[in-house]
Amino acid sequence: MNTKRDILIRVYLSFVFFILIGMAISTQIGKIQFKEGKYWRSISDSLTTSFRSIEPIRGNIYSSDNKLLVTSIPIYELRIDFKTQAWLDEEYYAQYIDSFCFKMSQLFKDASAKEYKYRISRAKNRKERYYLLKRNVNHNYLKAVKGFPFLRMGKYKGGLIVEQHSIRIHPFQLLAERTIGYKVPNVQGVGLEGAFDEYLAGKDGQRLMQKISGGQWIPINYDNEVEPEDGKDIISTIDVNIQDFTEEALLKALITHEAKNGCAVVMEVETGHIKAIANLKRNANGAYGETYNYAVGASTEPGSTFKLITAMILLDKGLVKLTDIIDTRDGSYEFYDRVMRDNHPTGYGQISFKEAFELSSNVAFSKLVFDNFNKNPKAFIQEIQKMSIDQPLGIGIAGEGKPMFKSPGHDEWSGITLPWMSVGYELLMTPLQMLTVYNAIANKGKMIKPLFAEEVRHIDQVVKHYETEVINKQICSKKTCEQLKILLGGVVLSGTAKNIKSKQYKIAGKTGTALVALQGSYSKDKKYQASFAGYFPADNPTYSCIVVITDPSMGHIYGSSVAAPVFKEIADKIHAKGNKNYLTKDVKADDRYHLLPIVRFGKKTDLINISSYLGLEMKMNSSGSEWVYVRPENNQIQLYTKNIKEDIVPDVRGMVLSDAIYILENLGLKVHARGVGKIKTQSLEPGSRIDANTVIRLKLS
Amino acid sequence: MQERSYIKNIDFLTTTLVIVLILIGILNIFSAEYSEGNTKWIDFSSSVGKQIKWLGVSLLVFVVVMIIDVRFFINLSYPIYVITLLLLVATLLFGNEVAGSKSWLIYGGFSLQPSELAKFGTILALTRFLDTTDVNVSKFRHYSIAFIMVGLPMGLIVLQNDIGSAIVFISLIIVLYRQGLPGFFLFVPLLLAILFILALLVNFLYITGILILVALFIIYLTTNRKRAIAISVASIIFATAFMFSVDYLFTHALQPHQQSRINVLLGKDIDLQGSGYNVHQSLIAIGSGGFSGKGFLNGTQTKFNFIPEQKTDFIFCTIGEEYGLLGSVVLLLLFTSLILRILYLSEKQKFRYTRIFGYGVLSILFVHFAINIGMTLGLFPVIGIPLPFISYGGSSLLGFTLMMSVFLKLELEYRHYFN
Repeated sequence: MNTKRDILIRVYLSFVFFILIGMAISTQIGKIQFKEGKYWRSISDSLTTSFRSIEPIRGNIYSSDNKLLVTSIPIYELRIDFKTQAWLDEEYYAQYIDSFCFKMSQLFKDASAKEYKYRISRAKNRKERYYLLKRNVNHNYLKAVKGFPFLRMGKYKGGLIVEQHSIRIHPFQLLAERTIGYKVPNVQGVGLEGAFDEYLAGKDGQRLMQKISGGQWIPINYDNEVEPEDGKDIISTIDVNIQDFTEEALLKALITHEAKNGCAVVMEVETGHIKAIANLKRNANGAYGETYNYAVGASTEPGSTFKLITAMILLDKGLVKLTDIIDTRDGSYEFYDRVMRDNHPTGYGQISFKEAFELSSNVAFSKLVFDNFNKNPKAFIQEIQKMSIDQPLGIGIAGEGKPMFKSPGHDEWSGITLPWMSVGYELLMTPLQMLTVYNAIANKGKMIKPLFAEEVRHIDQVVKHYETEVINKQICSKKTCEQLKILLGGVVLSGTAKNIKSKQYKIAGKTGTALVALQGSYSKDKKYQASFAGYFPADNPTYSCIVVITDPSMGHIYGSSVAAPVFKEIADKIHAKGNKNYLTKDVKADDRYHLLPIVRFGKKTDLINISSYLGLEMKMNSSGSEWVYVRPENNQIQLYTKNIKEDIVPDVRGMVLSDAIYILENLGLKVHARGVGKIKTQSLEPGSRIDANTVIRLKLS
Repeated sequence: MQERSYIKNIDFLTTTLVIVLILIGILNIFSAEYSEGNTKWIDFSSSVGKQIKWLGVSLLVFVVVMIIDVRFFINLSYPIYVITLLLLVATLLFGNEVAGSKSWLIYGGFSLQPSELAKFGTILALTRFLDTTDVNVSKFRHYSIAFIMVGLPMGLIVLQNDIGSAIVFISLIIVLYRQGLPGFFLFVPLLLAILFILALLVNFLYITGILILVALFIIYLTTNRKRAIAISVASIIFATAFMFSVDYLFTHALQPHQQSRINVLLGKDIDLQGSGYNVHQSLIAIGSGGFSGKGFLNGTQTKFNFIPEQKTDFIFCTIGEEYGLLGSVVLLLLFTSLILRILYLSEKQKFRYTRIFGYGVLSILFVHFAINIGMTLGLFPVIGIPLPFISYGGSSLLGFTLMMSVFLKLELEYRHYFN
């Protein structure tokens, strides 16, 4: 019968199908367990154990005067394995859990004992083997925690798992924060931390670990491990003292002029060592902080400081002499449809080239360049290229801004590009690139690369020494260089920056005031960038320096009145430090305390540092408080605690500005300061109540 | 019919096999969970404890099925089917997501995976339909209805994102085939599957070449050349187009993780950290077991959480590692015996309902068993379905016990029935 046969076939087919699959499975099992068995067994043995990496300790960064700028300190993560004797013993648990939670809460003050108990009992019920008790615990706290109930039963019974990590600490806090930078794993680091990561990072060690239940790894064999190679130390070129007053001078100017941001860089003329680099930006709540490395990263139109380069080209090519007379007319000159103007409302009339530089006459410079190069603008660009200032410096720090120079044929090249370029517009340079050019003039025409690190060291052994690199052996002829020095000196002697003339030593430099283009256009609400670049002492240049302040908004906008005083303050202090023997060592003991009262009130640690530097004895009458005041008594300097109360205006007279700002801003006041030196008067009476966001005006002596 | 002395006459072999499998399961769940320090044997918060609780529930279900009149299930086939469908819909609406699939209904401390019960419900309803006297699945109208009956729960389970459980339903095609479904539906998908894999492994033009050679040979042998040529040309064009589209769809339509799973399976790609991880770890466990295994509780790979889903989908590794080839083959024999026994009992039945139901149960059991062990061995893609009676999971144990109980009861009730 056909149907019957059909059904039979179907049944047999199903049967064969099942058998076939069954056979395939059996074959596969046999194959895995016999033919490949050896292979899988070997993998099985090698898999339960494996080499795990151990984190090395990152190297330190020191200043050139051997002060610790950044270091790593260990920090611990505490975890609990609830499957250990102490936690499994219910009787013990009932007896001690409250005491444990109370102690945790007392120590860390981050949660109530009740909250601790809730969290712990929940994790215990889940029998967690890797419960995170607390992150970021320092060594002292770790010691304390180890004495708590449960955990004091030891590593195995108590179930405490301690994991060590390290964090970076900046002992000088804000100081050059952005230049020191930071490094997070797998991301290009910022600043020195990023630039020298290959040395700082060290090499991972390896430790043979075994996987145990719960996804945990435990070390098996202490003999077999490869020790981690700790990172090497970087000796940076930063000088903490110079950095400190550079930052302070810049901050003061930014506060005074309510500027948006600013930077100041100090470079050693012969070596190119960056001695200080300060970058400050106003944040949303009005305070200033290091958030962006303007000096290295911000390419802007430099304005008149560029006239140095223009003058260099004109003099070098013999197109002008210092004594040549130029007619600047009424202070305006038309190039096609645009008018070039001088600052002086009625113009300077007939002036020499030297005067034109000192007074920063835009008309004179643009006219000279236009007359000489308009027929062949390419020649002007070629001169710039010859000096190699159209190229980035190639410093190791990530994010260097690129210089930008248009050339004929460029999309945006027009008839006015050349004259405007001659006075520092229609081109982009970073402050550090501009400083490099000024430094080259100070360095007799030798242009060298700015250096941020002196050496790489490993436990007192120099691993690598950074030599000064020359970018351009002779940026211009010796004769031109001498002439430029005369011009730069003239600016301070009788030109735009005569306000910073110093009696003790000579400064040479150039002011710059540039209109800032925002999103490609110069807005109606004009913003300026005030700058001053130069070097000192002018006769024997030791340091070059640039100060750039963006968007000053208190009426002053000029390089001479906004940036130059900052330059002067930095230069004054470096100059004073250079002659630091004014504190001769043979001061009589009786006179000692007459010296100290320069600072009457300040941070305890600072005062102790100062006195130990000066070899003075101090008697401590304070304990705990961060702030102290000083009084000479019984032929000794006595330190007393100064109490700062919340809501009450403190007496900050006699303090240095940075300390006062620190205290006052912390109390919620906004500080406006004027002058140089210590604080002389304050606008709010000491002892009066503070309303948030009140402005306090300080006058410095 | 012998109304009394039920329990005595219940099929001894089947019952014993099922009980042995469940015991093996509990032993291995214990072993997979076992670690130093936790030595309590009976702990109801552990997986073994929970599984034993579910075993109790399943026993209760078995007793209830044995006591009540089996016509209860026959007559209520459709309502039970509808209830399981509603449960699936409820899961979609109120379900909880576990490991990417929304397939759990959780109420209080009680959690249920309705897709496990849907298998039972679908078999009941399909059996009832095929048992109807004038139904003939070789007819388009009837097999369409049957496909819809299977397709509905499948679709709902796919919506839960539980593709593995949905694939299980495809096995019911065996039932339909036994009842006279055109062979086309069984063989064409099989051929397509082979072509699919070939298309991914080698350039489809080579396969087309081989097919042409085969066709020429067949044409040479046959007498009715014209018909043979026509069929050959049509199938070669179809096959080539199919392989081309597979190639295209694989690279364009599949998501990267799906592609990589298939590539790993085909041996084209080894990705030990990603999709290949489970299978690789499972192979290490089974491979390191050797002939007689490492012994009870002595496995290393199956402790320490090396293998994800150790207690559930990858339970077979524990057996492979701790009992070696011997243990694996014993388990295979137990399963094969169970399946063949059900096949034998079904074919012996004169009552159509029992026979069709038996085929349903055995198809589902078989596909679970084949795919589950196949995936731990790297023969099938990892689709996450449990090993019947052995894997940890209450819903699965309850579902399979229910199926077996009803089948045993039916078999017992209608053993001497003649129609």
